[in-house]
Amino acid sequence: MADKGGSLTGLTGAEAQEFHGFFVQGTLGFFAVSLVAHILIWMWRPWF
Amino acid sequence: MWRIWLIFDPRRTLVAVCTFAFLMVMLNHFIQLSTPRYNSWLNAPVAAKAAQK
Repeated sequence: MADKGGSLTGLTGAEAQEFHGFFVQGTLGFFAVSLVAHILIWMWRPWF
Repeated sequence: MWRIWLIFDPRRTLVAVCTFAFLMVMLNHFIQLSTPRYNSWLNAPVAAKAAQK
């Protein structure tokens, strides 16, 4: 099994960085939608 | 931080994270539905007035 410099998943450094960019972008998108939803709900019926 | 993808397989991680997030979201919505304050968004608006007080 050829092991390219310590990558257990077979990704190269560049591929890992590229994927990480998309992963972080998607996560922030999820947080943004969630934040908007919580603001709307707070305006409708605050929970404190 | 990106080095994590040299250890954890991106596809399997994505499936795990999305499944976990979905379960959490479902759990939270059903918890909200079980509270008097937030159970009115499913049934008729009449119930909404009762919770306004």
